[in-house]
Amino acid sequence: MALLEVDGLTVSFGDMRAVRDVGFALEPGERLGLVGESGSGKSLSALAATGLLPDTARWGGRIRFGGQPLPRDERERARLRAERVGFVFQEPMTALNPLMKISHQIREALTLSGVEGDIFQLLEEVDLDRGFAERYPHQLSGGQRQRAMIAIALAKRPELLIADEPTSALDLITQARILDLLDELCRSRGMALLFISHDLRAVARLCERVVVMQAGRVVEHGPVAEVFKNPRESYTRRLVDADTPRLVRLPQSRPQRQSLLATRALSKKYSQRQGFLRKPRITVAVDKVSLELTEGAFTALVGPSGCGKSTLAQMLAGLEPSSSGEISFLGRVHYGSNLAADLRRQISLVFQDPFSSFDPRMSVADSLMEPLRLLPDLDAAQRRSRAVEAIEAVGLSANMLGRYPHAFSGGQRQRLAIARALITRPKFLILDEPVSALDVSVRSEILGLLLKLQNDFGLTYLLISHDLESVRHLADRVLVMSAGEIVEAGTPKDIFDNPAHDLTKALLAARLPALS
Amino acid sequence: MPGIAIRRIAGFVATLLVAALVVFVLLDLLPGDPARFILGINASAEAVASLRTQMGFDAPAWQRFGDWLWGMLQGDFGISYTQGAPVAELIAERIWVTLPLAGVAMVISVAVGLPLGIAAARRRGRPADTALMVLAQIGIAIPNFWFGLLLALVFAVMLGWLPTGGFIPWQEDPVSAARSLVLPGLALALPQAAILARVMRTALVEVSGQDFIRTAEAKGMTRGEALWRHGVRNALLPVITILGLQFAFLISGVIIVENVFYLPGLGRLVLAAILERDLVLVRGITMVLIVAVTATMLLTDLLYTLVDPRVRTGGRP
Repeated sequence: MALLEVDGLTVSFGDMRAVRDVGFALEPGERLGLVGESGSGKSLSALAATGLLPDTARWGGRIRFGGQPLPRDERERARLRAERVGFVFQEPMTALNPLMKISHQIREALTLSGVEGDIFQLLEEVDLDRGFAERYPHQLSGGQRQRAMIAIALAKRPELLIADEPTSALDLITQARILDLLDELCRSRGMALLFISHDLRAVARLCERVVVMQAGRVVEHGPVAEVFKNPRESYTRRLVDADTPRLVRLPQSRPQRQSLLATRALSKKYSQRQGFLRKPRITVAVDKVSLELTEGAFTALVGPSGCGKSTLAQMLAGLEPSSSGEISFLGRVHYGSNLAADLRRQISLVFQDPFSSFDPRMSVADSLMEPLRLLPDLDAAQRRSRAVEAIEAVGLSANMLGRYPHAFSGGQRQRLAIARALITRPKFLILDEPVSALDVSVRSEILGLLLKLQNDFGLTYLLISHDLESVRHLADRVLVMSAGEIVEAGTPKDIFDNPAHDLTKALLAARLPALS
Repeated sequence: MPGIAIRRIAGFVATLLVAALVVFVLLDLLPGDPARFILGINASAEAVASLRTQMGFDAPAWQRFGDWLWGMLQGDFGISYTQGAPVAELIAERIWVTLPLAGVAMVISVAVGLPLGIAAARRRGRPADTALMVLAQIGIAIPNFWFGLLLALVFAVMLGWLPTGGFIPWQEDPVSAARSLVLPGLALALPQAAILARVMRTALVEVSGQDFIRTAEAKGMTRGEALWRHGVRNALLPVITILGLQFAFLISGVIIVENVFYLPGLGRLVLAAILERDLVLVRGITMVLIVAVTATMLLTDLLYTLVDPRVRTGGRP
């Protein structure tokens, strides 16, 4: 008898049908992957199956758990979750109650399920030290919080674990460890797994069978090996293809020239007060980094979360004062805080999240033209023509300038973010995880666009990324950062084929095997 | 934690010093000669001058400020020249009306406001929510003195349950003293309760969309249980901040409501002192009220620290 059976499931919000006629089944101990792009209805289907939909949603169809229909009564559904289903969600930063100790949050799960369990043993099972029991969530890193979340899910000894993008917010090394942990726990406890992800490699790593969803419907399902090797549907094929980016760097039209930017022993320290009259604790975010970027180069900066990549980028962009050391940009020295306006317009940034990096109340034209305050001499007509030029350069049309951000998809918004970065005609672009918030099929589009723009405008790029696969294809130089220091630098070939530093080796080892 | 408490208390003392300076400058250095006022327009210049000397008004300003501060620390607030009695004594007589009144109002506003806010948030978008919020809107809009009159009309005049005003000292008849504070307490509390209800509702609605509420439901709680056990405490954080600010408004409300209900508290005393230009008395009462408000802010700050571990352990809030 199937553990979970979903048949003809529909979920709607008002008139909007988010899930239509979805069906799948999960045997005890089986691992099923649910893949699809954002908005495909995969999370909603899983939430519906356990009665966790938001208040505003309506659902219909047949859901059976352990042969019994999903109870209509809220209290009974809650008891079903308390006793039989564990959950791990995507955002470890917000999924735990910030005001409660970890031990308290685990104990609550034990109490609700009525299972006798030992908190320390649960922590040990997810490789967390006993000491974490008495900590609050904000004192844990993302990976540690996700482990705590898994401990909470395991406390009730569930028959089914539902993991909704459990590793998407984590860095490569942490992701690999969490996937290993889930794999091992499912094995040792004989637990069934419903694994929701847009990352096909992670699904291939953990699951036996896969259900592919698109726009609220199931388009394909079957054993993982079969579906990923010989996808029947064009949509699945697109997803599988997007897994191995086929990006070709255009030959350098111009030879590498002089230095654009160089840093000398650049450091950033933060001091945190420990209390009255006590010595402040010093955190070194960036530690004596010396690097040089030549004009027209595509440099990638990789490293685990919290290694100081973004802080370094902020200092280079003149947004964060350095603690010591100096930055020389276009032959002039600055210290992260005193970048002159005529230099500032030569540097632009593109951030990770295209949804929060636009003011929802400003039209696209106004958002794009905002950096032009660095060029006060332009008149209204010139500003307008710059905006048209920028939006067309990223493959969108000028008639979109009057719209507001909500009218654009994630990929389009990231194009707009790039247009905004280009509008001052800068020489240097800092790309901080520019595609990691986007659906896989859109990622290679945006990366392709970035390559084209670099070629067209002779731009210099610094790309911060966790995605080693794209780094390998795109960059002509790779910097590996660990604990504030650049520990290794070289061509992609050097770094990927002959990694010297332990961290580089660990990063490479954490990559999930390609699908083919 | 002790470090934070020490910092907050140091801040409290510093605030009081600055406030004392402002009060002193405003009341003591501004034009208007209290000696002239006391003696009347026809008094001779010598008489005014000798009264000034007698009251210490001709010493340098910094010395008078220092004397005043030092005196207050020893419980000497000066002598009221209209009442002919030590200010400290006058305040001591009245404060046992005003402080219990403010306390009662605070308790009622929390006891009424928070449950209503929670109830509205639980029924968000449903008729009960709308009704509660309309009621809260009315509660905020109606001034408390009018509320006071209305309450007195219904419960004192028409029903005769409670006195319309006046106050029998605690030591003579504690029960009737307490009874006299019920209606003014309600009049003060209801507008505050309405504000608290709105803040509580908004905060809880905000929190209910957070991921950790879904986590709680995933653990096996119903939505209501998740909101109650995980939502309310998180939603209290903004409410605590508002609570501290509200006390200041409560104090200004006390001055008006005491006059409506004819209560012999600090509010009546300060109003009379202002009308009679009794600067020494005004200054003394003002300082007592400032201490009360600042101390409440300190308490809410410490309470916040107690509730939110991120403040306590130096994390990002």
